[in-house]
Amino acid sequence: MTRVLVAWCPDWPATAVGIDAATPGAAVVQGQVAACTAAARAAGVRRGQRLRDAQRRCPGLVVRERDADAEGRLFEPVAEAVAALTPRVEVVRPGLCALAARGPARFYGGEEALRVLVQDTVVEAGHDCGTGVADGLFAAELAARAGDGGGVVPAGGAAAFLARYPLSVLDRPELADLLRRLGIKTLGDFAALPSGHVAGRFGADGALAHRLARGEEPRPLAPARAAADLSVRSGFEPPAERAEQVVFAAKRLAGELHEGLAAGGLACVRLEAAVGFADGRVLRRLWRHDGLSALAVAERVRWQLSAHQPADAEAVWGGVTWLELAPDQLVPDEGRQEGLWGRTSVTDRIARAADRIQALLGHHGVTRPVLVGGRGPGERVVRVPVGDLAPGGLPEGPWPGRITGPAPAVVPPVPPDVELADASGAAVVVSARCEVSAPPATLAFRGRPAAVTGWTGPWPADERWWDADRARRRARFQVTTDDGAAYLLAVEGGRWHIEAVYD
Amino acid sequence: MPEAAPRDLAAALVAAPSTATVPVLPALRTVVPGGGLRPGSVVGLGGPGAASLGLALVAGVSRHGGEDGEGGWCGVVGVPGFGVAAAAGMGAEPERLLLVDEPGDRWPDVVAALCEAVELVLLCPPERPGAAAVRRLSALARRHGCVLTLTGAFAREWPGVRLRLHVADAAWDGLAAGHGRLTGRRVQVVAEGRDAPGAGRRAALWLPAPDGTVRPDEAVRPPLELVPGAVADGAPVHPPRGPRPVRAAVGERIGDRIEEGIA
Repeated sequence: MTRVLVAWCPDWPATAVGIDAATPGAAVVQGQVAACTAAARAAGVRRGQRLRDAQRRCPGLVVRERDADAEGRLFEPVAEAVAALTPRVEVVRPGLCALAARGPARFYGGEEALRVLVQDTVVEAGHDCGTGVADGLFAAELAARAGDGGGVVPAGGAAAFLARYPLSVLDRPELADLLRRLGIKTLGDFAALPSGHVAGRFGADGALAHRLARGEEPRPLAPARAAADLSVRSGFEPPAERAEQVVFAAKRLAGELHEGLAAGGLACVRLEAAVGFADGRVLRRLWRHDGLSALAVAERVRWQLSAHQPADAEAVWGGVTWLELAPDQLVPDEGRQEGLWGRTSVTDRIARAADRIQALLGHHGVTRPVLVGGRGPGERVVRVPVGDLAPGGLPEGPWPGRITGPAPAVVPPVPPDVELADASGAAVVVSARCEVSAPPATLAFRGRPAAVTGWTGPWPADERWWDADRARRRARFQVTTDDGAAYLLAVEGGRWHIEAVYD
Repeated sequence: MPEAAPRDLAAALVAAPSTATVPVLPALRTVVPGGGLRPGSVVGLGGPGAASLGLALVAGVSRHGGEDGEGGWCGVVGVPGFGVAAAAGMGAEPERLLLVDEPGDRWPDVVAALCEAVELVLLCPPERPGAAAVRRLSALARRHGCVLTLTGAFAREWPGVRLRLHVADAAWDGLAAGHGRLTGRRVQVVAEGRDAPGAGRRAALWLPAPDGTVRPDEAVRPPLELVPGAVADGAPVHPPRGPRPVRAAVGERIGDRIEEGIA
């Protein structure tokens, strides 16, 4: 049985989104509490609760969307600090890391001493932490959560330690529910069942849970070397006043970065170039890095600098003090294969023009449209920034209530308001049963009325009625006016909009 | 057939414009002087229907442009309402479009960057174009052979526009009082300016046709009908009637009846 030490940072998803443990707060995913702080827990907030229930119990709750990237990123310094004590650290998940305790315990003078040392190290890194030592990962994690800052479960004592825990710690709700109805309430009761019968009744997963409950390991630790930080940085002393100096350094840095990537057999999809100025300002920009050369990277840094200086001509910002290039979205380097025939490849000229526009306007400044399914004309187009991948997995349809016929030539991003009146001058109303109050006679846009010569509708579209926040209920009309124009109108909540113009 | 030869020749001349032009959709070749846009020229669009004309020009380059005629790239600057689906219906490839919806006051720089890369830039200047910007962009477009197409409120303020396109006599089909749906629009596309001297050139087009494409509008013959009674020698076979197809007339009548019913 291997001895395992686990360092556990409580409520990590909440910590990662920047909520202090003393403030009641929660990280939520899809309206459900994924993690909450101790203060929120004291107020009755629980994991898995719906956000509304949580807010009812704790009205002052600070709510943030869960950020898985930040969790991993923020935990990296913690794992590094632990790795400084003993090199083989496995990050089980952000907020929880484990290491084999036997060797380091002998070096640092006992398991309790090692446990306290790791705990102090993590606390020094800036995060609250519990540590526990036990046989196997499962028992060690529970030991780390137990009591005040965790404890040591003596060798061979895992089964006895686990016996009093409820079945919910297995994190298998269906199994726990079934066992509860069979009268088995604690891990000790579960562990007392004969293992052969458990495997026969509950299958492989049940057998695995049974092994956990008996204090046996389902698998050995798999410590991996923490991924090396591949970002490269260079400082300027004294601050660089001229762009050439920075660009020259960028070229050298890009060379280093590419060497580091190549040594790991990696490629990066995007590259973040950060330029720090003497007064503390930082210019950050993401660049598409699709096999760029070092020279091309340097050129992008030049664009980044030149795009920002003219806007603030008076502010010199005291010169550049540091430059950092950080790879983003690392992928295994599989080489590049250009399309052979019939595939649209972005030519170098186009890519250069797009890069220059992105230097001027930012990454989202220039887009390529992708046609997708949808009912309204505005929903049929997704604009993807040049260099990003088109979204996948969009629903195919069918789209009942789709607008057929030729597509409109103008689809304003924000539909402008318009007034549609009948012959008596009263606003046209569509009832819940899609009855039109009177045939429309005049269409007034920005105070200029035009007589309606033809109209059709209503075409109802009741979308996402299952989701209260995103539900939309509209009725669409096509209208022609006497000045030769044709419009696609939509009425939503009694207000008329021009959704598109057949210009 | 000796009399067919000139017609074939004319058709061939219209169908295959010289490779030195920036291509347009086949339906527009009769109205655009030379069968294609002059590289480096500035084209102005105006009036109602300018958006559709812009889409049609973009679709022409996107479909027939490029070095090998298999499709060119277009840039669209300052037109956030650009109807991508309509352009695709006219034949454009959305993946060869670069859209810059909000260029702000950097629009001259954005257009300058695009001029070097794409064959046609559709530009809606967000402000009155300054003389320096006009000179710089016109020179860049000439040097790189990129067609600058102007639309929006300030399109007429751009000096040196040799070709202006607009739409006249637009009539939508398919909509009646309370029923039907928009199916297509018949227009006269008019080209004016120094490149199309005199009264200009005209073409009757479907813009768009019921299937979303741009097609020439062949004169619609009235549908054949049974004429009751004997026909006297020399009498016209078709009763005098409007050029509209009978279907529309029937539709209107039904619509009237429905309206009466509602009233």
